[in-house]
Amino acid sequence: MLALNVAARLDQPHVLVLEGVGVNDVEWQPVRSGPGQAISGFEPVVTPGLLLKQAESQIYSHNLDRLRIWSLLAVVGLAGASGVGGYVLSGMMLRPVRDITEVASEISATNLSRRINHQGPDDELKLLADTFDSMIGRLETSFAQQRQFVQDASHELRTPLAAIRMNIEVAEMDPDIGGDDYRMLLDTVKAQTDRLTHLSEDLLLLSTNGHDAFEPEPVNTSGLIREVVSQLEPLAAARGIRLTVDAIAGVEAFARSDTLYRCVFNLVDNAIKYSGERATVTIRSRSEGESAIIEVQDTGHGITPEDAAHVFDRFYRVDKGRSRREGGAGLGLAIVRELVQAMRGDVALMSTPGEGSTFAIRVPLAKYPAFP
Amino acid sequence: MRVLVVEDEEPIASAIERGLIKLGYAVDTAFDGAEALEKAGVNTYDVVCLDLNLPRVDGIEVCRRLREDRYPGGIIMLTARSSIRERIEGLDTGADDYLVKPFAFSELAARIRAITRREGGLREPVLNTRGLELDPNTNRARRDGTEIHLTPKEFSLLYYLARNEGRAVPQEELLEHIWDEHANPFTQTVKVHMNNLRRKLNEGFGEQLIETIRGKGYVL
Repeated sequence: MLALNVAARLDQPHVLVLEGVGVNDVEWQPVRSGPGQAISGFEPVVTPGLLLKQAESQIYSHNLDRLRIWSLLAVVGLAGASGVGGYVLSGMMLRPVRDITEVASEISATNLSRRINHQGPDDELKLLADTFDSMIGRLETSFAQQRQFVQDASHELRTPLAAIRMNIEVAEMDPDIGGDDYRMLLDTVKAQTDRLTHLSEDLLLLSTNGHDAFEPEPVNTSGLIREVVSQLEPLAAARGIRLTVDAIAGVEAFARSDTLYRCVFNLVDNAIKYSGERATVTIRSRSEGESAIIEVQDTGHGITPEDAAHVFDRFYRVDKGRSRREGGAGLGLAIVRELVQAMRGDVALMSTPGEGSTFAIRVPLAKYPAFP
Repeated sequence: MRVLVVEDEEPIASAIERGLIKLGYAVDTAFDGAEALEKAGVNTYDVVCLDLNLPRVDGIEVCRRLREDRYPGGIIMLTARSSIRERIEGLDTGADDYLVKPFAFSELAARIRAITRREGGLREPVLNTRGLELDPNTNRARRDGTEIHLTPKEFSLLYYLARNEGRAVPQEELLEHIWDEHANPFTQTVKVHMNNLRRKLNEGFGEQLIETIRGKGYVL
């Protein structure tokens, strides 16, 4: 009871003032007298000093205890709340990261159809998830193309194999097969193995292109054209095709000479095989701006716009029957395009059906090696 | 049996042709789809071996048009592509069978035999009738257990007559089914082969198996 009273009085300033004065064990109390009950003076109130001291110390320790408990509770409560809040918040914030991890761990070469499809505000995590999705998309396309390529390649390889097997089996059926039949069989097998060799070289070229380090050097285009022409002259003569060269001297391309040779060779070889008799094939080289240009023009049948859109695709044949008879697999122009692109150039086709076609290779000039 | 081989790969086409001729078939070849439809429109084939990947008109389209034109014979598709989808498409368009390249020639021959058996309503691979035992797998003929040595053409003639037992088969029909497109219909080819066949069949046996019905044809 006493403690509570004193505690209540603690709030009253004059008592505090009294204590501040520090008069030991004496408390002053106003003396009121007269009709107006005015304060006439002070008289000391005598209280037992020991009791007051005890009460005070009890008050202090009690308050400190309460403060300690409340503080402890507050600290524990706050820690708990911030822990739970932090956990929930970070969980929400990091969910996209978890989703990305989950999807990434599920992805393999055979299962590229998974996407994160993150829904949420336009923040960094959304950007990360979207970037990740588009990367998987590109990988999926690239794997699909690769698979298609392997399928097409195996189809192309099966045909000569079928021809070899069939011819051997049919020869075996005849118990008294003669020398001429054997010679015919050997010729067929030889022609088909040539075709297989050619095809495997082309496939290798297509699959390794881009993996080799590209170390360009200045290449004299007119010299290169003359080399190609001397190599293909006999074939052209046998087909009744005229080869002419119109090369400006001193045009130096910044390329790889064996790669560029292969590209020009393929274009001229194609022109000879598919232009028809008495056609003329003209090979030109010149510089234009920062590029070296090598053109192969023929006076053949030309290519329709529908075919022109696909001529550079792998395994695409314009005239299937003819291409087969020539032993082609539809890879020649695809190789040209991929090799030229690997040399930071490009190849284009201009064609008018009935009049002829022009294929133009464009590569950087040696003087301007920084061509994009 | 007359077979049309449709295949744009010349070395494969010619091997199949030579092989089937050795087995006694009459064989024509076509190198693209349009040529195949043209030949099938003019001649009667028992089986068409059809490559799927053809210039001009592709194999699936050839198959569809053959069936639309009520071509009754068998169709075996040959292809280097082997996806299940393509096989199903091929069979659904009207093909009877499917072979993936590279295949064994003997397998192709066996499948042709299987199809022609089915066409004739036959289940037994070896045909037994009137004391004759004809095995188209080996082109061997026996009469009352005695082997008769026949050329592939003679065997084909006899087998055809045996499959149509009791019906008079006209000479033109034999020419259609047993000779290829290069046979001259105005020669005595059928008669010559038929005489040889009869002679071999009757050597040592009394009864004449093949009869000639004037104006109608031959009957077993």
